Amino acid sequence: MFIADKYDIAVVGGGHAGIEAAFAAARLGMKTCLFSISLDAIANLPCNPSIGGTAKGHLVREIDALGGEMGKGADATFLQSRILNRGKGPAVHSLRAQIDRRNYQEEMKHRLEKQENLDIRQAEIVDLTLDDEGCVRSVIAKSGAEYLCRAAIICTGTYLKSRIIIGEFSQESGPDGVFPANELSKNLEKIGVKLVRFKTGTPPRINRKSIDFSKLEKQVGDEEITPFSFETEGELKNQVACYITYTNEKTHKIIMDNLHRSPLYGGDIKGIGPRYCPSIEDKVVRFKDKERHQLFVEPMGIRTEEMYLQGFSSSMPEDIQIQMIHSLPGFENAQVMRNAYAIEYDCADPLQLYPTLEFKEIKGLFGAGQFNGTSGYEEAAAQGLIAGINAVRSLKGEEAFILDRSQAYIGTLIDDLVTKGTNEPYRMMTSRSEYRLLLRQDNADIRLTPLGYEIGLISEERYQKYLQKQDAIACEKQRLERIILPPSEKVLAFLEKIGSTPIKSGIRASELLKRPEVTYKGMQEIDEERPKLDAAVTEQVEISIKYEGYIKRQQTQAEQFKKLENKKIPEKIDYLQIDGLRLEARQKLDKIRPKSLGQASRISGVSPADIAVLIIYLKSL
Amino acid sequence: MKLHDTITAIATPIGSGGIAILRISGTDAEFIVQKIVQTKNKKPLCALESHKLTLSDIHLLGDPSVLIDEALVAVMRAPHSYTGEDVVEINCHGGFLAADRILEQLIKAGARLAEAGEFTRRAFINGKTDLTGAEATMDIIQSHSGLGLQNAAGTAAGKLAKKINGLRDEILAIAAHISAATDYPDEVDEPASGQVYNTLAGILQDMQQLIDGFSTGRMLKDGIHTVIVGKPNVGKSSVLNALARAERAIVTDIPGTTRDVIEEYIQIRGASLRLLDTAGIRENADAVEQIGIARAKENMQKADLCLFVIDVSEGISKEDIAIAKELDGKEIILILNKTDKAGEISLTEAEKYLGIPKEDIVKTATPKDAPPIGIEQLEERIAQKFLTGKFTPGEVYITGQRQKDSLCKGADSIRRAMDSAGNAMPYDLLFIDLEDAAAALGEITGETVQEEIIEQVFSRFCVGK
Repeated sequence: MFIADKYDIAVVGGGHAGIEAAFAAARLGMKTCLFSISLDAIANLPCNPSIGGTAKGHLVREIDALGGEMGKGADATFLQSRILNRGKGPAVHSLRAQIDRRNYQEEMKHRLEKQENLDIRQAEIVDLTLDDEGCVRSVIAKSGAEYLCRAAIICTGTYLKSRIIIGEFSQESGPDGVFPANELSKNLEKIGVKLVRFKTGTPPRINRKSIDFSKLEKQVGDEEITPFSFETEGELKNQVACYITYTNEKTHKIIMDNLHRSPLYGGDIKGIGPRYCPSIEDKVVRFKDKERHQLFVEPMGIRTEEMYLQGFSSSMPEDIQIQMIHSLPGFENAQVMRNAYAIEYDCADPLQLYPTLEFKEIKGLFGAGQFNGTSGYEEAAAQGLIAGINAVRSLKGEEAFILDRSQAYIGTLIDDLVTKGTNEPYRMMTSRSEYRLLLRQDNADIRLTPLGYEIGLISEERYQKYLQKQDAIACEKQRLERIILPPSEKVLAFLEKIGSTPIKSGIRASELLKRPEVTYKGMQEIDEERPKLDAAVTEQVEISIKYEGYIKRQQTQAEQFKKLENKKIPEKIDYLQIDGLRLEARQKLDKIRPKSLGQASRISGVSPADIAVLIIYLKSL
Repeated sequence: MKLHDTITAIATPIGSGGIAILRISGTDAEFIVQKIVQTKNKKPLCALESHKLTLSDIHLLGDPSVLIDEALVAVMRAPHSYTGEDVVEINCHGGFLAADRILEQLIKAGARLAEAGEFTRRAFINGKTDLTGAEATMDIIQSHSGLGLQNAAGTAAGKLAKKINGLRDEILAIAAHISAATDYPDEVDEPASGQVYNTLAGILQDMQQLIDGFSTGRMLKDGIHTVIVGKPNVGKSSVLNALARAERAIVTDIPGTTRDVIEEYIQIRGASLRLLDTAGIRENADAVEQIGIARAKENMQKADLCLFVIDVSEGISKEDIAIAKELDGKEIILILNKTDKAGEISLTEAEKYLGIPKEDIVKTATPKDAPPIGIEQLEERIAQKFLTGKFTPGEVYITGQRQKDSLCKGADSIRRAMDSAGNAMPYDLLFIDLEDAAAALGEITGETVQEEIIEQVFSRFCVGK
């Protein structure tokens, strides 16, 4: 063994969490190294070739608003972009883009390579050492090279002791043929990290030339494309289409006839799989009445013929998988390029973490991404960013950076993880947030960019632009509140055209905009002095006026929430000695060590009565 | 609220019954009781089997030679006790004296006198009962009537929780559908807006029914707040005494004898009446009497039922008509009293001048040396008015202000959600109100929302890549 180098921060793993962690650390001035088993696996998208989606699109925009990288990489390499839920309310509009997988990997790797203060190193980290005080001291590569560091961020994704399973066949392997990390698990356990075993899966990849597209429905992207990053400018264009097909009775019969060969049902898979990412066999078994299940056919890139079959995750044996695929319309002669497989891996129980994502018992050790029990690229990137920022702030002796549930989906995600834990890979969903109407993807910059600027990840130039945008929004809102539209012929004709109740006397433009059938864009013809404004500005104006009442109510809820959230609990409290608490509550509180009464109240097994006891106890201190 | 100390109280109503029970709860319960108890079998309390009665001597603290009482002592060790803590119960002789002296000794020995409801509060804190259960237990303890007791017992057994949870599940089902359609837009369609509106209307109706039942529930628990009103010397106190079957109020021929409000609980067909006799209302009363009249009027406004008494021998006077006016809009039974004396008022006349329908008029008399007349008819009419139609046996009624507040809050949210649905607002806006409604109902039973919606999304919808 030899000491190869000395860093402030070591990032173990080059997936979406590792990337954000490394960027944040290096940009905030820390000498940082990112280690990956294979540099060609950096920024891999081992499952669906897309970024964003419901709630996930929100996460990407929040990452961007704080100065993260994912949105920019996605904007640079997307193939098709859509806003999901466009027909629904503004809170649940979610951006999703098909991504050129290879292109994205190259793009992100190149960005990392160019980053100052950041080294990229191909090495499998197998161990880490602690100093006399129990703080992280170094990470050690399989080759024997030791890298001194003051903090380490573990972002091992699905690689820890991973095993892929295809029916009766299984082998130790990471995704896409990359080596698994077999040794780190036991060494993490040795220093006291509690690991659990999770499972996830991915569908097959099919060669495009073997698919009969005449039998498939086509799905195209949005005409007007919204970028992920608030910094992206210029025209964006869709380059590909996606397709839709369906399973049928024949597919379901093949599955039911061969269920005994599925490791999920045969009991060979022990890891806990996610509910929201069920295999096709799961769907068929659990929803017997459903005659067909929808599948999406998505391109993996421009310079490849591989197509991803979303909705068709499976761990059936290869021969059955092929039969199942051939039963689908348009796939009668499909040629499978990669099998669907299930993958099992080790990850950490997130209840061991503070909301900073640092391990409570090991100073300087942080976890992020799938290692913390989540699922999804976006969830991983969000945690990587927060772990990176907090590792730096901890080394600099600065206050922790914690987003709360009313500020961001990122805050909700991390609070859920470290407060409630998870017994399946955790996916972000809009229904996980109590403050959806406040946490929209369109206002992520308003919510978070000032914080990103304060942290030091948002440039002065971008911040000035942000301020200008805020001014423009405020001005236009004031203008609409000032203008009074008379019951003139023109206005009445407009109202009649859109089927809106006629007005008898003058009405403020902002009042009229509140009517469900009136849009800002539509009002143009009766709003003559309207200035020319960016779509991003008018969107904010419209939403904030139109949904004012609802937004105000959510703000009141958020303020209520903050009251309990701001009641901090001292670190060195001995829960086991608080008499009025029930035993279960004592143990849970002792394990999770919440930072505030609000957090304590969300721990499962801690009742309102326990919180009442805790409040009284804290008063008596 | 202190939490670690040992509390004690006399657990049976003071002064009634052959046995009085003292309850001691807390970590030091055995230790404290030991200081004043000597078991007949000479065993220390810690050697007694849990939940078994043992005959013992209770003596003065620090002087075992001074015997206070002979009593049965039971130790109930945590967590298998009412409060979930170590509990000792002393069954001593009834009446006031023995129990009181023992209580005094217990406090000297280190126990603290329990606050009202503190045993139940501890039971709740220790997870022995949920919120509705705890509240119902308080109602059982405070219940004045058989029907109230039945209602409280039903609630304690989880009837109310079941009903509330049923409503909550309906709300969560809609929320889950909206969530599934939002998080999986390519896979799940939104519910039809008419369907959502109608389901919500049904839920609102059920919630409103529970809210409306509050007055019945409160009457069952606290008794029907009944006020006897009328001019001075029409025999209000005699009516009270007749209903109470006791000489509760002083009765004289002197107008204005009753100067303050006199209160009495009586039972009618299992329901309880909180009966208040008030000062007669008249002009030209002295200062003291005027205070009484003001209180009478105040009570009239709060009353569930007013028993309006007039003296048939004097006919319908201007004052009577004035009082009838003040009673307008209240539940009234008109009592034509002193029918044993000369003079008569016909039902038609009474209805005409006082505006009270005939079926709400009862004739009574309370002769000095004979049993009262017409009291049973009066009781019958009260029962008809308050039990028939209003109270369905087997139905649960909310009795707590907290429960009512939460239900009202929930109903407001449902109304807002219906407004949004009616105005074709996007579902995610409606969702906020559904969550609020479910949370409000959860406040009653003590459940939270978020995780349950997600649970339902995955159990009811086939979604995911």
